Amino acid sequence: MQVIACDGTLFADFLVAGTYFLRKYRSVVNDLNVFPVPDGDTGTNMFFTVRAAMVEAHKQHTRSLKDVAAAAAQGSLMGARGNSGVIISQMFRGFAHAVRHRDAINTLEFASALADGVQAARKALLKPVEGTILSVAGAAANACFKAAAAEPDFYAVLHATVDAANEALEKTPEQLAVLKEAKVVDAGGQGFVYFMEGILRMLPGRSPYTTAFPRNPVRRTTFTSKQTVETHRFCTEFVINQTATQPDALRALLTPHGDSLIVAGGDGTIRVHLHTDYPEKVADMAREHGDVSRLKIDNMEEQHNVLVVDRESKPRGIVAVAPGEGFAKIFKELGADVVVIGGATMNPSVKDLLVAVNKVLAPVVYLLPNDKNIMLAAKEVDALTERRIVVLPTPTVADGVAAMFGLLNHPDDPNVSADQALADSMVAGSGSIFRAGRDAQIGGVSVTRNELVGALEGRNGHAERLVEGPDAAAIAVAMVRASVESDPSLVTLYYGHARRRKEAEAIAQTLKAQFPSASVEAYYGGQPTSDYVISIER
Amino acid sequence: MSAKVAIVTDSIADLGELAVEITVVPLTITFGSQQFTDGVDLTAEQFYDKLEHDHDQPKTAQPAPAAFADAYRRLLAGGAEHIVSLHASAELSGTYNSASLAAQQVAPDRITVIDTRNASAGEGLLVLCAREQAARGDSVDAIVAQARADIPNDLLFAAIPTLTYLARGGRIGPLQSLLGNVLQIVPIITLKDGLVAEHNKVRTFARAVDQIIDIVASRVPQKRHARCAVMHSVAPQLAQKVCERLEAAIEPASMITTCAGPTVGTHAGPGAVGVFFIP
Repeated sequence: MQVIACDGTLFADFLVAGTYFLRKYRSVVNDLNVFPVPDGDTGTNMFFTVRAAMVEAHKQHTRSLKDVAAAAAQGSLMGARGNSGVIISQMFRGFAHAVRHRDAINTLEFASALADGVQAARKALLKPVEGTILSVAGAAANACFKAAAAEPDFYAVLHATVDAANEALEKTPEQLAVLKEAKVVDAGGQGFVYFMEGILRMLPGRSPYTTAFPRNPVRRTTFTSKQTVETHRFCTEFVINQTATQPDALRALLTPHGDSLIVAGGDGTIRVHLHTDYPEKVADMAREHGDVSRLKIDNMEEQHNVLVVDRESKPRGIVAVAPGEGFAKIFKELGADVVVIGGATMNPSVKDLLVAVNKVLAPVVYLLPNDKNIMLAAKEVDALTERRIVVLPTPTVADGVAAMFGLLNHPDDPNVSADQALADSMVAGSGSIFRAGRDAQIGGVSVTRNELVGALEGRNGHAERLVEGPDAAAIAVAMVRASVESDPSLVTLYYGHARRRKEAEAIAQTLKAQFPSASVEAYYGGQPTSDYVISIER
Repeated sequence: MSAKVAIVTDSIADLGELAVEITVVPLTITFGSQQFTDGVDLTAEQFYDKLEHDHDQPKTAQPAPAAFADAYRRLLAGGAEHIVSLHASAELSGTYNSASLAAQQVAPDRITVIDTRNASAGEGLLVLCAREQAARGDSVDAIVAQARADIPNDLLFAAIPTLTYLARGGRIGPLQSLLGNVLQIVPIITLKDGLVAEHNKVRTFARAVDQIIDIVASRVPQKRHARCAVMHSVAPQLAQKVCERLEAAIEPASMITTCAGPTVGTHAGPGAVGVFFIP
């Protein structure tokens, strides 16, 4: 059966088929994502973008192509996510513009509209780069045009189009060094191929769902440690509505503030995508030009790191709150997928925790609050996400480290209970040594402002206690004595942001001399609020 | 009268002076351009000293089939009716392979080659047991059956103070995740299906030793029954302490202490301790 005309109904079916394929293969596309930033979300972004186009297209109860294409373009513009998503949305926009007076088109008109779409996408980019989705779509459009000149059947024409797109995709590593280094083809280009291939596969039988598989994806490797996000860490996206400003003017304005800039749209609605180090400032600049909505800010460094350490198939994930960078490193190396910096005077919000949890690609997420003041917020998260959240009762960061070992010893087990995770914990005392911010009296001990003091956290029925001493080492020794009756097995000292390794090691020496049978370890905790965090184990 | 059944093993069994009435075929150790014969011209102390201070990574090589063939021929010529040849896990070393080839050449029906799925003193325990049976005059079938029955129960739990050597030897495998850690983590190592595996992780070496004692005690259902071997890499005092604690915990039927030779030592490095036991 030949298909020689494309009307609104067929176009909407095209979108269903393409979206279906992208959904199916989005994780393959994610794995290929190394350019421009290896944040591993290209497939997901493209899928959401085309899905938005599909949803809007299906709201049109008309067979007229011009209306359906316009709706798809508007939907994809509003739903566009990420660099590649915005590029796709521009293709829809160019396509819709080309067919704006048509109820149905033949293959030649389709090819011409596709070329207009690619042209529009190219124009939306500040610096079009070859070896990306642009090259792939460009080659596809050319082949489409050549085939359509002689062929009225959509299947034959799209076959030639997909072949050319695949061929161009294979060439992307030659065009873009970063792809070659990572031994991958371009992720956006691959996403485009999947989308077109989906359409092609549905054509002969005209069923938008297909069980056919596309060719084996080129997926030789994923990330290398070399690819890190160093500057312009925040992927920032938003839509400006009701603006009188032209895209070109906005582009000029935003160019100095980051890279991967895309400014797309017109007629009062502009979509902006930018990688920058100060997303809020950029959003404020945009607010002077209209109503800013759909603001989305992603820390690509975190996205990237998450994707480097895990894959979608992980049975469980771990999110830990850490009171400083050093702790963050420790938790990551013990297996936390995402670490939220916070504690003491900077409690993360429920939303911060939710965002962190949602970054973990696992159905079960263990959440370690590591501070008694964060426990409540942590318990709120479960109701807000589809993932099952297990909040471990870790009221202190010392308990958090112990719990990480508990999880470490049940690798990949999503059924570890909170009790099991903490069953082997030997933590007998923990606390911090800091300069008192004000005069205070706790448990019969009074301190004056700026005096160095130790605070033992409440544990085993004991209330919080203050410990005094002439210096940090003496306070540390007193804290150990107050926590255990005989010698401890392990004392861990985490020095804060303002302290140095040497100082911590000197205290460790003193502790070692006082408790000869104990192991004493000193690590950088990086916490801003105290000089030392101390963990005492039986 | 020499025993009718002769026992052969390789130097991975780390039996040293305990290898009485046992023929040990040594491995070859190469440091750079220097070659040594395991336990013959390189003592354990010398080996660990070189391991720590030499730039070269030692390489151990299984004995050639000819070395086993020579040993087998000599024993058969000397009056042995049958040979039971017990070797380190084929997953870890090519020794079993070499021995099997030699047995095929020499007298396949008079030599039984056994893969102990173990190494070091774990292999040694089985060898000693076979030697005892042979000395008692047990039949080949009985000796082989006993060894085969013991193999799956021959367990190891060990603690390694530093993972540097394991990493250097490229044997880190499943322990990869522990490298480059900020926090010191001590893994408790075990043997699973003839391969090195991780049992769990703890914070300090002392705690690892405590846990090993606990694990052994929990796996030994009956006192005065287990056969134990405490293996150490030039840490005799530590091994002595472990022996005392095992004595108190399970009162083993027999207990030996051995120093891990180059094959295990290359990967474990100095300061490690482990307990092999057959509950």
